This record gives sequence, structure tokens and C-alpha cells, in this order.
Amino acid sequence: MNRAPGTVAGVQAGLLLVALVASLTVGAADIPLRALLAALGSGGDADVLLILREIRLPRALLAIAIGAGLGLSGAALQALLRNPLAEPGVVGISATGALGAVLAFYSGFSARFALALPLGGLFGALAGTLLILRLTRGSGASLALILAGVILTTFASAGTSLVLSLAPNPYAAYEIIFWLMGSLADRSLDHVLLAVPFIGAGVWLLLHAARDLEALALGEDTARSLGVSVARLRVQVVVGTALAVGPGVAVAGFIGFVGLLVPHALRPFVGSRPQRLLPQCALGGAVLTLLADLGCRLMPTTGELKLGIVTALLGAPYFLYLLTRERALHA
Amino acid sequence: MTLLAARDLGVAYDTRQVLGPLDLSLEAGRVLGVVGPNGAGKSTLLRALAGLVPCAGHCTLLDAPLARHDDRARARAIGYLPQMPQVAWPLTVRELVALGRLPHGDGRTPADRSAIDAAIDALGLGPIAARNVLTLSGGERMRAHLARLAAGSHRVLLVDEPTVSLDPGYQLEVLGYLRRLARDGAAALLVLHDLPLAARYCDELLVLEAGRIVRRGAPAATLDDALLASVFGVRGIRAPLDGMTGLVGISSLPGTEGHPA
Amino acid sequence: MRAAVLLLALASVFTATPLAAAPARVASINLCTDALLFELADPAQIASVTHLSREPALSVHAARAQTVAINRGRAEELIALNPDLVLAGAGSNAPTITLLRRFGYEVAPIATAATLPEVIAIVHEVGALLGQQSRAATLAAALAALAAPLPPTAPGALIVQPGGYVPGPDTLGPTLLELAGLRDLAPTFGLARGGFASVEALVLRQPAVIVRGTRSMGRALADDFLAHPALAAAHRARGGLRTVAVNDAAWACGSSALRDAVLALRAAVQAP
Repeated sequence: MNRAPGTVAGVQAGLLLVALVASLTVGAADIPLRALLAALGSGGDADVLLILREIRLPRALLAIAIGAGLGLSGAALQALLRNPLAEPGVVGISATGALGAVLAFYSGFSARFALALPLGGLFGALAGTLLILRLTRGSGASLALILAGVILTTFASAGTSLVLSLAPNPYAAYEIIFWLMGSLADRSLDHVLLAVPFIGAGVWLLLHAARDLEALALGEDTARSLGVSVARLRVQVVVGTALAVGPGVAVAGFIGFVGLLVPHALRPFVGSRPQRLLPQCALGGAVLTLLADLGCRLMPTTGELKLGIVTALLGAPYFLYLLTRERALHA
Repeated sequence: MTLLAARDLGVAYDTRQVLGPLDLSLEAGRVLGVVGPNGAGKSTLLRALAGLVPCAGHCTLLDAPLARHDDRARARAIGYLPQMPQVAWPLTVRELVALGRLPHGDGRTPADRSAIDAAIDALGLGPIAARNVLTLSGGERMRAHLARLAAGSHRVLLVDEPTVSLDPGYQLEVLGYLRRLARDGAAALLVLHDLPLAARYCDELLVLEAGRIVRRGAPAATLDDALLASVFGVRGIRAPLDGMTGLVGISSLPGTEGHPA
Repeated sequence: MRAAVLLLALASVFTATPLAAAPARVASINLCTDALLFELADPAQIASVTHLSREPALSVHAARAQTVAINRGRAEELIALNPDLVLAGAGSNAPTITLLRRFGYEVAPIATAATLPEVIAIVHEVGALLGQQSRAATLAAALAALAAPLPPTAPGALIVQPGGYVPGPDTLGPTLLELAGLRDLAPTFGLARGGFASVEALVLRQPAVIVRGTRSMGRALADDFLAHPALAAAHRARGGLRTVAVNDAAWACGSSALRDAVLALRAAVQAP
């Protein structure tokens, strides 16, 4: 059942490369492959190179970074809460991150101080993570977790709508679609610079929590008796998740279910142990998000499809399946 | 040699004193059993000694105050196995046992590997070492958890009700193994609910009731009929066992429900 | 083209039905009829305009609107005003129009103009309704004078609004470009009916001129479109995508502000 982790990582890396290349060849303007390749060499069209460098590459880089953050934090949360249904979108962390970002953006604060945008997302996500831990204290049971997630998401989404309606700019009210359904369209290198360093820090923190998370397989008491500081581990996962998720939401809106789909898809291949699963989920999240973003552009719809819709179309049915399977186990 | 000693140990939630104050000491090579009715505070005692609940009083581990040891040192010295241990995600037996080496480091050094192998062999887990723990029977799973405890090379073992829901044969096996670990130099504290088993496998018994020690000493002397009646509401059935007269069963008191007459 | 415009203008003068006497008090419940009211009526004739006219981002008469009573287009407000005539938008105020007529008020539904001839016809129509035919004729003539044939060397242009939206032929956008001597490139972007442009398409097809609005009412993501670094980089590299700002409010409606917008755009384009 468990393939060698190296093989799985290799397959994912290969998929990532293919998706990356495909991502660069697809865009709003129909540019033939020949022209793209010519632009990379000398004597190619400078405009095409510009499109690759300023529009398509940032988009792909963001998809990779945001996807890695989402996949990894999903796996980490599932280990910490010992619940396979946990992930930033489901438990409401992405929604609170969006609220934080929206507050920073429409107040005009981020116009004066650019870092306010990812920081708004970061603090929003941090608040959400802390609230989830508080609301599920003593009971990592699914019902409590999902309810807490629903409460958080509902409140944060309502808050986001409120901020957007109060914003002076008339376009703000329509931008709810971006914040609640996520999109990587027309993101620039500026967005990459705003989000990726934070996401990178979060990914680093979460990867380093993997070893201690192993002990949680035996429950918190036994883990503590084995010398693991569960309190410190919790802080590490909370901060790591907020860093890996919040700034991503701030530049791309709410993208859900990646943190749910990726760990579940990879467990049959690499097992459940955090030290092996977490790094693979970072890679898997990047692949999934990049492919989903490709799907947004390839669908035969008039405008581009929103990224969060594609991940929801994949994730919600799977979530339902998980719920019914768990009910069946406890029936 | 006293490995772990506690003086005036007490645990209080809000203003309610749940346990203690009490004194006890764990000696190398000896098995100390803790028995008592539900709610007596047995599990709390274990968790307090394991450092899992804040407690008042003075504890000494290996001749140094407990607080002086850092988390890892304490974890190396004291091994803890809770009641009905759970496994949150699929692990092979070997991976579960390997978790016991966490206080010592990575789990990949030769010392680690030999400790893991020894524990697996000692508990007869060799044939199923690669199987998923969640698919094992209750007895096999308990042995896997014990192997995890054993792999940690702890000086002090704190085990909470290791025989719950085990087949009778497994119950004897588990207790026998724990006694062997103690004879090899560790100090073991076992919380047990089965009085005859406690009497048979422990060198000393602590009887806990409402958070206080009401009797302590050798099993035969401690579990006399007066105590059995007052604390547990039962009567003892004694028979020759291992060259002495030991408690082999319990029966209800005359005039109460369940009396065979 | 000029002759046709003049003919149409003359025709509409004679087809509009003049009222028995100039209405003493006129209310307007549509942003564009507000503008015409301000420009053609005597100040005493203006009973009420919509609250939107007080927004500088939406109306060039914002300052003047501060001194006039405002309404939110609802029937009860107008009944309280008891005007002699109500100017309304033909498409946007239908239910209110029906209600007001039921109460016996004189309501004139005015269509939205999308071409210069339509603008001129409506100017005449409203002028006749207000009893201000001579003022209307002056305004109409000034507007008609804007018409000029598009030279073959006209630079290509695109009006781009926040979010990348390109207004379609149901607005005065294409007319603005044509009158300013710019070739409307919307059809080449597949946006002949209006719609959203993409940054990539703008970089590849680089219109010489991008016409954007001037309003700024707080921050929105929609502003990110025209601020995308790729557009600035393309401009630096090839010189296209020169951005010119024109007040949106000026050409949203067919009024004298349209003339100001056209002249401003012409000047901006010809400037070095």
C-alpha cells in the first residue's frame, strides 16, 4: 500500500512541472506555442515575453505557493486536531483571513502601506485559528469541529459583505465574488512579493512541526509524557497555518477544500504519518491548485471561472462522502 | 533504590481537593498497585506523577527534584500508558513501538533500533510487526502499546488499567510482562481494578478512596475482609496460591444483591 | 454626417409636442434628465433632482445640486413636491412613471442617448417640454458642431473602466472616441457589444490610447486592472497604451458636458 515516498514525490514533481509549463501556455490571449518558445529565445516578441513574465508567471508562482500552503496546513490541522475533516476552508480560517484582508484593503490602509494587505489576511487567519481551537477545546469530535467552522465562516463572510457594502467605492459591492470564490486572474509580481515570503515562513514552521505531530497519534497525554510540548506544538501549528493561509487569501480570495482533498488523496500512497505526509501534501497542494487554475482558464465559459468554484466542485462532493463514511462507521 | 518519591502530593480543581495530600515512593524492582473504587483518584494520581496535571507537593525523581528535570529528561525517565490507549491514524506495529523512542531522539540510531527490536520480540510481536495497529485484536493492540512503553527504556513505568477489555489470558500475560520489566530494574505503578490480579502481581498495594490512601502494604495484609467490605462492599475468597494463601476471587457480602445463597 | 445630424435635429424640433405653457416647476428622477434640467431650465423651474447629482463622481453639476432639493426617485417624494412636470428615464423608472401617471401627474419618459443624433434629438425634446426651445437650439448646435469625419490616420483607442470593463454601443463611449478623432478598437478586441478586456490582450494589441476615468472614491480591486505592472511595462517598451483621463461623469449623459469631454480628450490626445 505504501509506495516509496521518493516515487510519490517524484511523480508529483513531474506533474507540477507539466502543469507549470501548461499554465504558461494558457492565457486570456491566444498565443501559439511557437510564439511562446520564440519569445524565450532571442529575437522573440517582446510583448509575449512581457506577458509571460508579468502576467502568467506570477499567476503560476502564486498558485504553487498558495496551494502548498493550503495542502500543508490541511494535513497539519488534521494531525493536530486528530480529525480528517479539518482544513483551513472548512474550519473557517480562510474566511476570517478574507475578512482581515478586506478590512485592510477597503479602508485604504493597504494603499498607504502595501504590507497591510497580507498582514490583514495573516491576522484574520490567526484569529480564526485561535477561535477554532478554543471552540473545539476538549472535543476534537467532528460535529463540534464542523459546527465551529460553519459559525466562523458564516460570521466572517457576513462581515466581509458588510465591509464591502460600507466601502465608498461603488465597485466594492461586486467584489464579494472575488473574496468568497477566489481567483488568480491578473495577479502581478507585486502580489507574489506580498504573499510568498509569508507563505514560505508558514510552510517552514509547519514542516518543522511534523516530528512532534507524530507523537499526537497516541493522544495529547501520551505525547506530553513522551516529552513533546503540546502547548508549544499547538502554537507552532496555529502560527504556521495563519502564515501559510492568510496572506494567500489576501491576494487571491477564498480557495477551499485543497487542504482536505490533498491529504486524503495522498494517504493511500504515503501513509498517515506526519513526517512523511506533510511534505508530500505541500507538493500535492501546489499541483492541485495549479491544475485547478488551469481548469479555470480552459473551461468553455464566457469569463474565466473562479478558482474557488473549481476546488469546491471537486472538494464538496468528497467532503460529503467523508461525512457519510464517518457516519457509517459510527452508526 | 527509590526512583520516584512524592511528598504531600495533592491535586485540586478549583477549590475541590481531588487527590491527596499523600506520600508515596516507587522502588526499583518493585510493582506498586493502586486500587480503589471509581472516582477515588487513581488515574489522577498517575497523571500527576507523569506531570500531566498541575499538582502541589514535592516530587523527587532519581534523587533530584522533579521540577529540575527538563521535559525530555523527565520523558526519558518516566513512561506513561493511559487507560484504553488510542491510535489516531494508521500506524504499523513497528512505527507505534518506535514512537516510544521519541524522548531519546530521532528513533533512527542503532540504540533506538535495538530497543525497538527488543521490545517487539519480548512481546511476541515479530510476526505482526508490519501490520496496521488498527486492524489488530484488542490483545495484540495492547501488547503493541506495551512494547511502545518498553522501547522507551524508562526507569519508572506508570500504567493505567492495562487489563481493561482484555481476554483473561492476555490479562495475565500483560501483568506478567510488566512485573518482568520491574524485576529488570524499573519501578512500576499500576492502576488496577481487578483485585485478585492486583493481589497476585503487585509487591505492594495502595488502596485509594476519595483521594486519600486508606491502606498500604503487602497485598495479603492490605486486602483483608474488613477493608474489602468497607471500601469495595465485597468479601474475599482465598485459596492456596504460589505457596501462600492469596485472594483468588471476590463475592458479594451476605445480605446484598448477587449473594449466591 | 453633419448634414444628417442637422436634418434630424430640425425634424425633432417639429415633432416634439410643445406644452400649452412652460411648466413652472419641473422635477427630474433620472441622472441624465437632471443634467438637461440644469442646463436648459430657468433656475426657478427646477423643483427637484436626484440625489445622485450631488456626487461629483457621477455629475458635473454636483456643486449646483447642493442648492436644489433632491429626491430618491420615489413616488411619495414627488407627490409631496407636486411638480407640473416630471422628467424620467424611459427604461429605468417604469414603475414610478406608471404610479405617478395614475395620480394624474405629467410625466415625460426620456430615452437614453447612445449616439450624437440621439443626444441632439433629446436636447430638443426636453427643451420643448421645458419651454426653453432657444436654449436647446444653442446647445444642439454646439453639439452638432463637434461632428467631424474620422481621418484614416486616427490613432486607435479603447475606453477602459475599472475592472477592465469596455463600455458598449449602448453608451456614449464609442461616440466620445469618434468625436475626439480616435478609432474605437473595441470591435478588434471582440468587444463590439462591450465587455471585459484582458490585460494580456491589451499588451499584445496595444491601443495607442487608453481612455480612463478620473473618479476615485476609495479603494477597490477593480482599480488593480489599469494599475497592472504589465501595462506600464508595455508602455515603457513600445510607447503604446498611453493613458488619458477623462471625467466619466461628463460623457455619461448627453448634455453640454459631453462637449467638454470631447474637447478635453482631443486636447489630451494632441498634447505631446
